[in-house]
Amino acid sequence: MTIAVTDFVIGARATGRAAGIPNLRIAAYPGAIAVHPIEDVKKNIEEVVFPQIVKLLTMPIAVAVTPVGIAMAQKSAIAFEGTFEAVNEFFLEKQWSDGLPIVPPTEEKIEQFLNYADRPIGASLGVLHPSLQQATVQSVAINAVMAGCRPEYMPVLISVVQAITEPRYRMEDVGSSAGWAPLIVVNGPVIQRLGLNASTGLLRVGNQANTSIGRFLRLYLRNMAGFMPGVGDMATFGRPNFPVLAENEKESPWEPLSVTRGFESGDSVVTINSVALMSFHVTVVADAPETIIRNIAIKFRQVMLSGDGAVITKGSEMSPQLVMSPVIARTLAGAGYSKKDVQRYIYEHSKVPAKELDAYLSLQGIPCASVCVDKGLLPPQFAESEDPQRLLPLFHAPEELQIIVAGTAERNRFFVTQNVARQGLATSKKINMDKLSEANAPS
Amino acid sequence: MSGSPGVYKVLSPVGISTSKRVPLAPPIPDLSGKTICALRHTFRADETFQMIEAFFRQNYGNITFISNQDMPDVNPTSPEQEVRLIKVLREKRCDVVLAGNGA
Repeated sequence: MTIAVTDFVIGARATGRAAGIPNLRIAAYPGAIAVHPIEDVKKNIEEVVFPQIVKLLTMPIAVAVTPVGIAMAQKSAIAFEGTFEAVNEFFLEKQWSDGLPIVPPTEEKIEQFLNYADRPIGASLGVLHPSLQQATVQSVAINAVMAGCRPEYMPVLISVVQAITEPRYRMEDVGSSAGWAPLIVVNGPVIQRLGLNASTGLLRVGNQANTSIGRFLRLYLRNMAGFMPGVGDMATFGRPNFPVLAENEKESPWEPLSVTRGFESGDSVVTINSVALMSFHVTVVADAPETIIRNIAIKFRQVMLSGDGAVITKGSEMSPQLVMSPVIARTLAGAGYSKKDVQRYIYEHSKVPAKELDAYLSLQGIPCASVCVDKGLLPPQFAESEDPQRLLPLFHAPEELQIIVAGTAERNRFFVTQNVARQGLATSKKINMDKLSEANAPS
Repeated sequence: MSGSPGVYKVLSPVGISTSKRVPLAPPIPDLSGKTICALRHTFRADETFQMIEAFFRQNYGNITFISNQDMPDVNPTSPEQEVRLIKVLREKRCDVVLAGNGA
């Protein structure tokens, strides 16, 4: 059985239904336990929660008549017939849209998208959470049509869905109350082939490929994975979905992110990462590369602490991102810095005194770093001494830092993103370019 | 578009659940002598499970309560960790698993 705060009971019930347990035993705790005084917590557990636990465990539970599963649509069946306006009203009523007009997903339109798929319509791309549904090529095509994608985006969309269904990504946490949003990073020849913007204003809504692929992912999470606000999606505030971040490889002095992550040069690759915090897009004003990288490290430290200083205790891996404009990358590379050098520098120079980290941990109700080591929440290096001035890192290893070069070539800005530790860790998938190559081939 | 001009026949963007109904474990009329296992490490879990344990002990004799601190992470990040979690639940011979602490 489970125990959930009252606001989360609907979500817990939906998760149980998706898992085939519509009558899951759920005891409800009244209110927000995290901010209740200890005496109130004790009173609530004694008077409200514990009696429910006992009753749910000892008494027969009525057999639920609710069908299992979150979604109940018929595969390939026509769901509705009507004008553009009527279709959009129907989708709004069913909560199948994101509030903006959708392109009606007709069979003819979907067929155009399937021409760019490298596998059959019913092929599974993985299991989605929390709905526990199979992600299929057909479901990708339908939601892609709705989002305003072009058919030739299908190879990217298939890889995006494959990436989010990897256990490493922990897609069940997409609905965490932290309200983070997935950010899709694209590398390789596919950037030019699809007209993805990697330069000025790339994260603005506007360019069709960047925008509609980002919109597709939000629609897919909502419709197929079960992330409906207040049910699967428990974001306290939430964030808008991001357009795609295409790396500005032409202007970068370094290997692209995909190569850093183990793919071959020339591969087209998607990498999905979670963004719980995106920093100010900081201007760098410095007369030497050493000053630039030092300033980046200082800002990086500020961002990591200002977001959730305790995030390092919430998983054994993280994937923060450092996105810099090409001119900054070229300046650093010109001074001899490789990507690995930058990762190492930021790791070493963003460290904080233990006393400072402990203060951030206490804000989250987490004991000090040394105690976290005892509990297995931090690696042993965090308790090598009791010196409150000893320096501790803000992420586990230099290679966790994802460095991406993007944006206006000659503008001197960078930004940092932070994720919620293991929720939505950077996960990559190669894009199969065969169908796009066929489309290019002379007939 | 298909059929009459200006009329669209559209497909549903939501899929079909393939999950099978899982029978709920039968109730346990008397919890005395049973093993209660707690899963969850965050959001004041250490405090709340201690309270729940105390109430179990007050109300039932011979209860075995496996603290959340003696159980693995409730959020497995890989199929291997999931298998490990199930293995531990079996090894501990849990009659009841409290997954979550109200947060």
